[in-house]
Parts: sequence; structure tokens; C-alpha cells
Amino acid sequence: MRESRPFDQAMKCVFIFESIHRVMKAEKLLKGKGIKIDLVPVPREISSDCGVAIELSTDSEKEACLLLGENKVSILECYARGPEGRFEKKVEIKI
Amino acid sequence: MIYFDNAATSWPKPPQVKEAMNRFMEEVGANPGRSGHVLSIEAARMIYEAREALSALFHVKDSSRIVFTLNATESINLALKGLLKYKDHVITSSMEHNSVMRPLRDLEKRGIALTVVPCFEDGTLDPREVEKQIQSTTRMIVLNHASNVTGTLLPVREIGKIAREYNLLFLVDAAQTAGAYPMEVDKDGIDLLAFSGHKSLYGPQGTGGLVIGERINEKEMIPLKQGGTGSRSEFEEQPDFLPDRLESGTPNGVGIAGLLAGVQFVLEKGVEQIRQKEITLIEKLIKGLKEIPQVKLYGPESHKDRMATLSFNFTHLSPSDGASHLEKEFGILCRPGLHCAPAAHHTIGTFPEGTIRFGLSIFNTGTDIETAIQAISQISKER
Repeated sequence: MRESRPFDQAMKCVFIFESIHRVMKAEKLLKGKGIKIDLVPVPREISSDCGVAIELSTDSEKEACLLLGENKVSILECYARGPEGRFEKKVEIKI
Repeated sequence: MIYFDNAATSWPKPPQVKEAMNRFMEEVGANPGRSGHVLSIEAARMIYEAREALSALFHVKDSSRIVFTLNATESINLALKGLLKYKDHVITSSMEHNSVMRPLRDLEKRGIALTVVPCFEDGTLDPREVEKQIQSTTRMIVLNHASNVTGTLLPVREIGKIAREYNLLFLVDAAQTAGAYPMEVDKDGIDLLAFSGHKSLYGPQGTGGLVIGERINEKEMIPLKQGGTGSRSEFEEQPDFLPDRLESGTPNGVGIAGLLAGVQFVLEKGVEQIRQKEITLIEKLIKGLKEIPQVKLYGPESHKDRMATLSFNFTHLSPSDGASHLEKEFGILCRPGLHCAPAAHHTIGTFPEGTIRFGLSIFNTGTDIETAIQAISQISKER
């Protein structure tokens, strides 16, 4: 039987956006729909960029992608954080 | 003291503008979009909200298409120098401010053809005169939304239609109208809207912006400056997306915080209500000054054709002497001279002496107007 885990230990994914403007727009949309997210510095393993990314539970990933797509906020890349904390790039999302 | 120099910069500002700037300095203060820490994110949120508020005001669908600048002048320079190419033909009016005329005259020396369409003596413009000047090489029409000298409104919507019909770019200098006159960027046929933040948007000096319409391909627009944007830091080339492409270097965070508060003030009051109040004031002023024989008024009489900015002269005094009397004897602050718009003064027949200009704002009162009329009446009797 799978153990239920609190949010901060749950499987997470990270959305990377083109610009801080899009991150801010995405934050407002997602929080507005009650989707729990965190703004985090873009993880070093993903990019040397100095920007901000959105981290959320994989449980909310689909809903979040749909909402952002409907509002024309394109996600540049999506990464899943594996069980050992490593980031793996998921299929590129272009909406 | 009565402040009538709002066409140069508005004063006073709503108290919430100063409070927002203070709050930004005390509680936020960080560089937006440069880091993932909480203060940097808070600064980025504020800048995002400022773009959103401006989008609501100008009816812009995608707020990333609003870029911040220092002032309307920088916005106009960015639009002209970012888009015009060698041998392009540009049409403008004879009521333009030097923020339009100087970059265009400079570009003319570099191979851009320029036609300046004459306006009538009250500053109004017949759109058909603009249409007549369109050639096969015409690429852009540049127009003042309202004159900073006479307050005359120019026919933006009609010329917007012409620009769309001939597939021309349309740049509007809204320094005198943004926040004080209703506008809808797409409906008005505007491709580029240059605005200042420190006049009728009640933000601090050092704020302004440019709306880049959907018809403009931002990838083809050359930035005035390149540099750090906080995005795509691994590359040495400028990003090709908005707003980053046209916004390099640390922005004026504290200024934009003030501008956001100013735009919120305008949105809460309502542009139509602001215009109604300003029209009431300017009509009262015009009515009072018309009774004084030693005063000559410029610009259109009907409020439909004007903003709350008025140029006038004493028949027996130079503009600078008149303004000096107004300040020293009555505490009325205004601006005499050419108002950085020699073309407009040629058009209304007041070059090179210029005029005395009163620029009103929502914070002026009927009592201010009565005091001014009495003061002008008294000065006119002094000799």
C-alpha cells in the first residue's frame, strides 16, 4: 500500500517560463484557482538562468497545464523531480 | 499657491502614490525578476500588477506588450528608431512636440522621408489631409493625441482607420491624454501608444511606457538599449520576447510602484469622470477669459475638441512677463514660452514669443479658476 505523503514530500514538478512576466501571470491564475504552488529559483540543474520557476505537486500538473493553456501562458519546459531529488525533463509543452 | 503646470508634470499627486513608493522602499526594494527570493518576487509582482492596471486602462489584451520607459519621449524614440528603416516615409502633423519632431528630423538626415501635414490655426487637423500624403513608401503615421500647447485633440480614431486601411503603422503620442481621455488601443487603430506616467496618470517623474500593438512583430523591433533582463541569462543575445526585449537593466521599481498607485487612482475615479471635471474647469476658464479684451486665447473653443490645457497671451505683455506677474503677484504657477513645441507655435501663429500655458488637473478647483480669472483681469488693467 502506498504511503500518503505531505505536500512538501509529494512528487513535484517544476514549470519554467520564458519571462518573469509569465511567471507572475501564471502565479496569479493558479493561485486564483486554489492550486497550491511555490515560486522557487530555477534549480541550478535545470538552467544557469537567474529566474524564478513554479513548483507544484504532480497531482495538480494536468489542471495547471490546462488552465495556463486556456489563458495563453505558455510553459517553456516542465521538469519532474524524481524520488532522489533529481530533475527530469518531461515532454516539452507548447500550448 | 495655484499649480497650473500639470501639462508639464502633474502636482500634487494622490497621497497613495507617495505611500506606495514609501512602502516599496521600506518593505520591498529588491530587483524584480533577477532572483528567486521573496523580495525580488514581490517586486516582480508589483511590476506585473502595474502592467495589468495599464492594460485595463488602455484596453490592451496582453499586458506583456506594455514596456516601461523613463517618459513618453523615450517611448517615442523607441518606437521610431526601433521600427523605421532607410527610405521609409513618415507622416506627422504640424502640432507635434519636439519629442516627435527632433527624432524625426534626425532620422530625416539618415534617409527617412518626412511629411509634416499642416493643422488649422486652432491646432485641429483634417484627416483627409493626412490621407492625401500617403505614398507607396509610407510606413508610419505619427500623431499627437492632444497638443501640449493648446490642448487641441487630434482625430486619432479617424486617422487610425486610415492607417489600417493603407496598412500603415500608427504611433500616437498620448503624453497629454493618457489617464485624462478615454482610449482603446485596438479600437482606435493604434499600433504604438507612447504615454508618460507623471502627468494624467499621476505617477512620479521617470515613469512612462510604450504599448506595442498586436500588429507589430516585436522580433523585428530594435531595442534602444540591450542588456540584462533577468531572463535567458545563459545567452549573450537579447531576448526576442516582450517585455524583456525592450526593457534592459534594472527598472525604476520605486517609480513604477508610484505609477501603479496613480493608475489605480485613475481607474477608481474613472477616466470619463476625470474628463468631465476637467472639462467643467476649462470651460469656466475659457468663459471668464473671453470677457477680457486684452487677452487672446488659442485653440478650439468647444470642449469636445480639447483637453484641459489652454494657451493665451496678454496683448500688452510678453508671455514671460505675464507668467512672472501671475506668479509674483498671485501665486499662480504656469509655463510661458514655446513648450518644447516650435512647430505647434508656428501653426497657431505665436512663434517665436510663445504663449502662457495653463495645464489643469483633477486637483484644481473652481476657486482656482475664479482666482486665475480675477488675476488675469487685474494684470490686463495694469497698463
